[in-house]
Amino acid sequence: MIRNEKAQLYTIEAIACALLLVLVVIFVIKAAPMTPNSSSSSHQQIEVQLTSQGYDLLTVLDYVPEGSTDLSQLKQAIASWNGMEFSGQAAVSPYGGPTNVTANDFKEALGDAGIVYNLEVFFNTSAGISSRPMLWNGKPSDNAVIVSKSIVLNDEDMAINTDLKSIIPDIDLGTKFYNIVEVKLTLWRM
Amino acid sequence: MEDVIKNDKGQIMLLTVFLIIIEVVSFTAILNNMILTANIPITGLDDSKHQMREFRLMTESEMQKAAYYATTYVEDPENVTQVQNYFTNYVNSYNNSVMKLYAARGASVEIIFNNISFNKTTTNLTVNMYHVEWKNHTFNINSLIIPMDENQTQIMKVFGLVYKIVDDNGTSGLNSTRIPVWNILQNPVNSTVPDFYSTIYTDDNASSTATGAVMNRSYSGGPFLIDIDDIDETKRQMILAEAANKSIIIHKLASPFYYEKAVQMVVPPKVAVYPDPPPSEMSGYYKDSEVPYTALDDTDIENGALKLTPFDILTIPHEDMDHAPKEVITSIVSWVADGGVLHAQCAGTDTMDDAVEKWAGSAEPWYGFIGINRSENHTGKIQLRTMTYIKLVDKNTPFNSTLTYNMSPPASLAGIADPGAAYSPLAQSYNISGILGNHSAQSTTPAFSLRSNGSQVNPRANILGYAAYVDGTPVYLDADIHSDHRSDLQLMYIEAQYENGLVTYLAGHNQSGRIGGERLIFETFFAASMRLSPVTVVAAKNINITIKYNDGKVRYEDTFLINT
Repeated sequence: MIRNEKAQLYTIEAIACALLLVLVVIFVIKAAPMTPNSSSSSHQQIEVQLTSQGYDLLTVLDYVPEGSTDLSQLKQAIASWNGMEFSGQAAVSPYGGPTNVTANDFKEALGDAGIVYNLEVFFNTSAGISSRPMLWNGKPSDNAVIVSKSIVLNDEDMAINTDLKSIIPDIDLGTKFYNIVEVKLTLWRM
Repeated sequence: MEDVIKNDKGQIMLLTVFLIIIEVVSFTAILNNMILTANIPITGLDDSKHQMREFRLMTESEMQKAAYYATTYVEDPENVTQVQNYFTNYVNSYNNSVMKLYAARGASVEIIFNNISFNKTTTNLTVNMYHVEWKNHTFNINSLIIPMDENQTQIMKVFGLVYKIVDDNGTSGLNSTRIPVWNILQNPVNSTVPDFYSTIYTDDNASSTATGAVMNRSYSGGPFLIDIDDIDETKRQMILAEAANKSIIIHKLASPFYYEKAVQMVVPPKVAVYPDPPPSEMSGYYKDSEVPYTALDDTDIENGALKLTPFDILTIPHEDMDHAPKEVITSIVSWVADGGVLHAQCAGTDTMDDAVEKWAGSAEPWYGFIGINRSENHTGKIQLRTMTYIKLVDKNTPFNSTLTYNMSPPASLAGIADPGAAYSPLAQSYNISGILGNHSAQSTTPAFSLRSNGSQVNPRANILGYAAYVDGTPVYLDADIHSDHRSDLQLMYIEAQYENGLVTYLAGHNQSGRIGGERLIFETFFAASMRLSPVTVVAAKNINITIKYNDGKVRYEDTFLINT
């Protein structure tokens, strides 16, 4: 038995091959996602990238020049929204308004770059925090990132939009304070 | 070869070396991965930083808004308790909302007030903040709309009503309570530029208890609106009663209305007329409108009445200012430079420029206030009946985009008629052609032209209307009193900023004889708000707060002072 060095050799060879295969499989599994919704180590960088992209996009859309009394594009989109979920990328009523323009900006900035996203609006009600999806593209993956932007609505922002007024309540009828909405953007890569 | 194959020990050694290499490679890969991971920014902490920053900026902004709303929207902005209560209620609502919202994210936030004071203060309501800067605004259902076109039968009296609504100098009744009035600015020429009409869903019965004919109506001519959020039922009744007394038609909104180019008047302008007594035409304008005014003579102006009162608008009809004393002219120049609005008509236009140049010419490099030449009518050059229609200018006016003005060097009309009359509070009109009627009365200054030397023209001049034939064709003519053998575009209505103030010149004698022209005298009302009007209000000052943020990963606390 001791002298049968060939057997030993074959055994070690087999172990080496198995080890090699296992390492390759582990490496591949860790390095790349097996399904769109599964996690992988490569997502760490992607998550950071997506978070950064998400915050950048929300910041740009919520920008108003100093001293201007105009509403930011994001605020206009919310203030003009009728509360209906976008079906895919189809426009919502009123057509062509700030909501559709902003939805298209999300598509161009994210969708066209292969990033999937959901946009939900959270707001205060007498019963607690409620939410409503605005742009919905499906269930997020395990590695989806969430970024958000809070927007304060005042009475004059909401006066024209009777549809949305029935969804987002005025929580202070005595002053111009209307409500705060949190625009929550969920991002993931397919 | 045979030896090598048979040398199993050698093979085992080779395999062992191979395994060691694999281990080294694997170890290096894992180590590399660890180093990479350690160097990637931690998403959670990055997110916390965004949340903290947002909370701080939002809180700062909301404190400023609370202070602004408290001063602007309370019944009596000089009442400390009202302002304080409003501010507190607003801030509490914000605080409760933001706490709940952040709690849902897993973070706790807190706002602590360290110091705040509510003091009476004199605030300058600046043009950029409150008045002639276009603001977008939504008018709620039941807001009142005062038509300024064919829907209105008493256009001139509307100005008196608007004045009374904004005024709070009375002791009782409508003019004892300050109600902001909005003017939606439209394009006064029905070209391809939009907004000549605004289609608004309205009810022609403005009462809160009854309904009349509810339909989409087209409004032009810059209607006035009173936001329902700014009035209660008592004030509404006062407005409607006053309107009924003056036979003024008021509608109410049957659905919310949003407009992007609106201006708000929150302080009624104080109007002065020179000289005293004013000419009959001037009395006529004010009699028609019932707008209060004060006539000033030389002594009043020399004694500083314009600044002491202070007045916001000075109207000078066809008065030859060449004969005015030096002190009168220099007082007017100084008052305009400080923010006054001067509206001169007929002979008051070019003679004012001459007098300003004579007595205060060194103040600015150009000629007088604007730099115009009077056009003569005595030689028959300007035929009143056929050549003195006012054609308001918008961006589609052909000469505006293609022609140059006959100056040295030639100036592009696009440069000196921009923005023209479009969306200007000085030139709201509902005449679909943009042409305001002529009049047959003899006029000392039936039209004027810019001085041919471009350096003598105020670079901030803006042509609002030019002299035209009845079909709108511009009148080009060498009609200067000092004939320079140049054919110039004849002008009728022009404005120019002069330091902090505004000067408007309107050619022609009695505007009440000109269809659509009489109201131009009162359209300086909103522009007069360009004057820095001091208003005493209670304002939240010295807001010192501490904010706290804690999401388990990051704890943040900061104390800071907010400027209002």
